[in-house]
Amino acid sequence: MSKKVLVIDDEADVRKFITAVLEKEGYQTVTAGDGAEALEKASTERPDLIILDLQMPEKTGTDFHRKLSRDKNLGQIPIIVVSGVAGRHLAVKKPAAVFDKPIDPAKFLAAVEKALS
Amino acid sequence: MTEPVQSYPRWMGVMPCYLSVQDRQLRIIEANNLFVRDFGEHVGNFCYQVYKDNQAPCPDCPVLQTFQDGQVHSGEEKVTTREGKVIEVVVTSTPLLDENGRVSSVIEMSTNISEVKSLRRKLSQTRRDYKRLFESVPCYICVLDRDLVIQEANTLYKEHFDSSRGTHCYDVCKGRKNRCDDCLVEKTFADGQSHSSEERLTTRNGHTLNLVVHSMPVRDEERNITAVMEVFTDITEVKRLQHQLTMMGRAVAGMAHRIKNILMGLEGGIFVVNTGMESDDREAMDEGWEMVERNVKRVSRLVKDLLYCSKERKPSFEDDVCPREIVRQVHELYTERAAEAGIDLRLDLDQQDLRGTFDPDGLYNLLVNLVGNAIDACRFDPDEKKRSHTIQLRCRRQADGAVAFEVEDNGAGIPDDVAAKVFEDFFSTKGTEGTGIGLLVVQKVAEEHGGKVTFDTKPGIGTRFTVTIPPRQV
Repeated sequence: MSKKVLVIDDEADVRKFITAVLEKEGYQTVTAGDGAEALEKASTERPDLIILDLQMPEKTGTDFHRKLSRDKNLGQIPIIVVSGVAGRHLAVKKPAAVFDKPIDPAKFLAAVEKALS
Repeated sequence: MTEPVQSYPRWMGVMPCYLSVQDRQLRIIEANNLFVRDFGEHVGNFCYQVYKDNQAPCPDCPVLQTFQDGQVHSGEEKVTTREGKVIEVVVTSTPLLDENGRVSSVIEMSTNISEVKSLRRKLSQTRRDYKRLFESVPCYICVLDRDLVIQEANTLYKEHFDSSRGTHCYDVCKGRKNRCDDCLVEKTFADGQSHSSEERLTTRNGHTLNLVVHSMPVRDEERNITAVMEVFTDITEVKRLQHQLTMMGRAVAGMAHRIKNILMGLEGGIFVVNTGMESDDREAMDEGWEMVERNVKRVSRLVKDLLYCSKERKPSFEDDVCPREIVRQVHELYTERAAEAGIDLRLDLDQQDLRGTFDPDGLYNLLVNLVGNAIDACRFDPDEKKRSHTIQLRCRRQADGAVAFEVEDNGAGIPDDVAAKVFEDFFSTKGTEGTGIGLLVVQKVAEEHGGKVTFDTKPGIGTRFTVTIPPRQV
């Protein structure tokens, strides 16, 4: 079965870009537009990987990450940070990879594959 | 000529002043060493010839007066030495009496006061210079005694602070009834050192100023502190610029983030179009192309707003501009879009003519931003119980002559944490929609008109933005 990736970003176009890249490679995707929705999707969908933007309204990416990492099951899901904010590498403790916007699809897919292996 | 009487003791010859004995015709009978040194041997000559090369006695001659009334007289004179140097002297004439008690001759004693005079002139010049400095420096200066009563203040201080409020510095500067904690002046009285701090004071016109205050001791000859001088430098403008720079820094950071998202949207669009072309998926191609178009629009709007906020665009004021007409244009622009979102955009204009000097393009953009925000506040209102949304667009003249523009909505309202920084953080809570600098445009245009922007908001109830523009001073 193909791996499931949760894409979290407040911008619809960014979500669309990332899901298009992932789906083209045969990944299954779910999306969330803010931290609250992301927490809900993470627990119901149980993704294998999370792509996270750190600056979002409602609950920010860092806040979402703090709550996620406290959860025994969800805390183990690898995270790839995609963000335009400086200092993005500091907010998530051990991200599988960090990408500045805009992403290079080939490099991004390589990181996804590595994170899921 | 008769042998002169032994008129004064020989020791007087070495006195450090000019001494001469004169007869009734003001002829010099005898003179001391200093006189001879500076004016020459002149026994038998008239004193006015010797001193001034005049042909007649000076008016108010003290020697003549002494001959007349037998009293001591004095006066100030300017005399010329034999080297041609003009010196200032104090002249004192003292009578010498014969055995019948009549004035037989007069001793004239002249003391050189040129140096004293010159020092006095320099002193008063220095005083004038200091006074001028005190009055003309672009700072507020006051001198305070130990009770913090103002002893002296410069013109600027008197102009800007209301001395009718009281006699103490804290009355006048702060409208307080008692001294401030951490008073600089008291510290200076206590330790004799200069102290400084930053203060916010309100002038008599109600302007709040940011000032750096320095206190320094004023000492007498014995080095005792008799008063303390306070010098206030206005740093309001510096503070404002500092604040703007901080904001600008944040804005640039926020902008970079926003631009990266737009780029991401553009590249995403291209990716989706390409993927659609590879698999001949028309729907994907359309979707990708929409992403490209949307993000191109976003970047062009961002650049437009940015240009508005930069120095690039100078306001162009025109006379006889009708603000009601501009409000009408903005109303027309948005009516349809508002209606599509189920919003009633209402127009409420003052009946009287509001024509004046305005920057019409600036005002138009200001209103476009405010109305755009109000529409978004209604569109994104999470309250589903509200039956309808209304935006009131008003323009009227206030009692003070200022023109007020109001945009009032019954949308989502602004939460407290956001309200505190709508002007500061020029950030956007609108995701894809906002450039994050719309209110900055509003504020910039208002300031260019000498006006200001205020708002009232209640989360869940709505928001009213008011832009007040005072009549333009020519």
